[in-house]
Amino acid sequence: MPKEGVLIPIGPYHPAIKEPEFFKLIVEGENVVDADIRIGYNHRGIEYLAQRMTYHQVTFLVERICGICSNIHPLCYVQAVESILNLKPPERALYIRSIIEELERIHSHLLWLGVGGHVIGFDTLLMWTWKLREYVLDVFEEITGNRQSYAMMKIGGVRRDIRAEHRQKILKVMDEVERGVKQIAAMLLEDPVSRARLEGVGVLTKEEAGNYCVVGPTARASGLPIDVRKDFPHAAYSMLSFEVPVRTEGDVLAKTIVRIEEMLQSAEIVRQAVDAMPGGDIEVEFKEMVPGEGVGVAEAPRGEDFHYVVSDGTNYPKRHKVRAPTYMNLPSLKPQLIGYSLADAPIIIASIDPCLCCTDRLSVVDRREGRRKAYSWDELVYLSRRKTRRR
Amino acid sequence: MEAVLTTIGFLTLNLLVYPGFAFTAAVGLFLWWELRKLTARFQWRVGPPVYQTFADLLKLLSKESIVPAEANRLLFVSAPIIALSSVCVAALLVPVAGMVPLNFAGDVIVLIYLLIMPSIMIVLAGSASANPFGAIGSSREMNLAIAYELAVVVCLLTLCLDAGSLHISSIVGFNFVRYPLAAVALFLSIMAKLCLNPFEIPEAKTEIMAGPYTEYSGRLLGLFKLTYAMLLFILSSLLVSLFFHGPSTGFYPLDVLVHLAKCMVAVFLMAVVSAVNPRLRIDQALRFFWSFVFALALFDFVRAFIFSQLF
Amino acid sequence: MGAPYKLRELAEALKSAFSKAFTVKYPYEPSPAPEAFRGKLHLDVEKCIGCGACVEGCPTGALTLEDEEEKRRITLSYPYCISCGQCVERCPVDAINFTTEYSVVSTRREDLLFQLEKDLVRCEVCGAPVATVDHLKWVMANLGFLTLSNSTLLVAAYEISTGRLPKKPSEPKETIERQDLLKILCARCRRKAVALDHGWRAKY
Repeated sequence: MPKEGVLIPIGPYHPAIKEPEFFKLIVEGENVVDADIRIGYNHRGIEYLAQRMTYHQVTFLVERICGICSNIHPLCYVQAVESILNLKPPERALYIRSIIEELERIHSHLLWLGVGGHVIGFDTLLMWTWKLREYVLDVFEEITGNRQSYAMMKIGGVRRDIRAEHRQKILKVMDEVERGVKQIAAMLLEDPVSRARLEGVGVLTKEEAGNYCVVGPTARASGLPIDVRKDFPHAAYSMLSFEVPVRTEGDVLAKTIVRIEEMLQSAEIVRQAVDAMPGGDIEVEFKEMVPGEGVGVAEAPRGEDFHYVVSDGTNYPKRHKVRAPTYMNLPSLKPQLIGYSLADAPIIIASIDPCLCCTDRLSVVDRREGRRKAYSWDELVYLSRRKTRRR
Repeated sequence: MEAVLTTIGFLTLNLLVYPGFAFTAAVGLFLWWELRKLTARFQWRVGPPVYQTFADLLKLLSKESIVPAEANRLLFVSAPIIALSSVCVAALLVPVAGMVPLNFAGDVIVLIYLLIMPSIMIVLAGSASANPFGAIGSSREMNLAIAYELAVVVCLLTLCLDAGSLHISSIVGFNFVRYPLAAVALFLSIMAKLCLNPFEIPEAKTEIMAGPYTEYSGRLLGLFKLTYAMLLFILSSLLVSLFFHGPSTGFYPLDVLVHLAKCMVAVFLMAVVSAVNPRLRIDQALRFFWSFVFALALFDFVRAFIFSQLF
Repeated sequence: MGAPYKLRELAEALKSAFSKAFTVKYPYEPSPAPEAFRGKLHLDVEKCIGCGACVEGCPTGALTLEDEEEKRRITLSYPYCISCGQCVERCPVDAINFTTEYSVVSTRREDLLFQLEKDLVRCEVCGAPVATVDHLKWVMANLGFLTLSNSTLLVAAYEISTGRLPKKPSEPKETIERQDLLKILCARCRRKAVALDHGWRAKY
């Protein structure tokens, strides 16, 4: 595989990416001439586990797919189950779902911004953005009872209400976020040194973005105006007005700007939703599962998240499939990496905001015999490795 | 005979205690702590306690170091030792509050060489460690050294030209008033020499792990860290002596304290600059040094040249 | 190089340097959690009726239930707990609740477990567990006079009032007879006994 030059491994364990994934970079001097991306180092068999848990328990399992977008997976999952049951959650629950989703987008993008700063060696930016993020996490802690893994989603609604006394706190933090994001954006975008690191680096053209089927901010920075919140409105998005920021440059700077503008939009959405939230129940009950299949989509901070659930009428899902956004975005790193310097590689990899623990799942159902087979750890490791080799 | 022995005895004392190894190491570790503490405070953090750098060093020195099987053993082990010994000798040549223990004609030239030694040793250490990250780090360190070393040399020569002497004790003074641009150039070069943030390129941990130090551990890494701490003091001391050396109070220990306070201010400035800047890419750093920093140094050099010709 | 931009950052850096640090030295300084925090679970031994609803809902197996001879043991294992709140939501008597304490760190293994034991009532025919004494009491309290409609509850109420329950489980019997209807029976045996009583062929 190495044509010429030196092979630089980024991963499976590397300080720039906090999760185990392997990027093989072939460099000549400092220039990357080829790249190979291998996934599968973080496989936990989530889909298989989901088939052995009851519908209510799976909500908490999918919440653990990812620590950062720990709301979006349960949201997609409960939407999929609700579409099987044909269940309509009350409007208040929909609004609460939207608020949580947007707060999560803010904290996830702030986290990304900090990591981006860390990757280009701007540790002060990391500390300052994460300080700002702390306020958002405090809101989460007060509303949902935890900083991450909010456990808010429930089939048929949400589990905790946003009470009147939370409203002031949320609005105050949104003002703080808007002020802080604008300050940090100015710091990052008007600064010639950091601009020099971001501009024109890791360009993903619109054509390549289309070919690789990228989603989320990665797509929107390359000029593809796709956003699940607009295209297939879930939760309360059809009742809220907001804009989808799109850039056409496709470089790391464009991705940064898209994310910064999204944060400001999210703050606006949260303000709207908090004010427009109707009263009433926050959940509807359902008696029993019915057979069928359902799909849930939502716009995760990193792009479109997709859950597919098949029910056979028992208490356990027959099949549960997750397609996280990074699964779509990761292959597009190859055209982004080639031709740039090794020093740019970490920020390019970070620019798609890879959430690798979302990506690695494998579930085995023996279709021919129509039964589930419990694979031992060694077998799973073997399968996982075989899958890795095939890629 | 007795006189020679006394001289040798004093020199050994100078080398090992003051202003050599012990003093430089202690002050260097303290300044390093200041750097870390200030960086933390700029980032809304608490920061480490004052003994942290000492404790880190003690921990490293008490641990086993592992030499990779494929590494060039001789180079790998000797590089940190040579780097440390060269900064120990350099400590004798850098004036502390106007006092230089080793004083001979042309010591400026020797000092320049001694200050390049740690960089060269880091380059050798990185390439000897048989690690791709080490190799990339070495090449970056080399590029960076090429970038800043010229500016350092021009800055020192500016002062030598002004004083008309290659004695380091003759160029000590408050030269900032006359050559502010050279002072700025030297300051930026020192930041690059110390791998501080905009120029933290050779050990950019998010790109190439720890660069040349990737394979180092235990005592050998501790020696490199000690070298770094001593270099931090020596370089800020050099900056202070050459450009900000005020008149003597007449009481030498007080002079030393004033000198140390000035060094702390220099480290404070370095901390500020490194806190508010992201890391440059190596090509950007090269361009920055050869166009901007070198131009600053050269401007003052030409001025010094013209002055020396006129008067 | 871009001095005016840097000044703003410098201002923020200096502001930070002269204000109190945002971080706290956590283990040495307290970092309190808000009221609604989902922290370490607290199990109220007095309130708990040992029904096992929490165990059914627990997605991670942090709550487990073991039936021993005459005791039912419910174990809460803190390391496995993900603080999802399924147990809190399901508990019929509000016996399990979140606290705002979040540190479960300990050097002793016993600190990581919380166990409670409840007196278990077993079927007097087959020996299968029926429910805990507290659970039966809770059912009776909720049913009121309707307790009289269920022979097992009726017998249990009588035995509790005369102090004969909890008791050692009796030897399991092979066959079921009509007079067994007036004993404490598990659901399965009760169906058989009722069927015998009505003269149906026992299908079970």
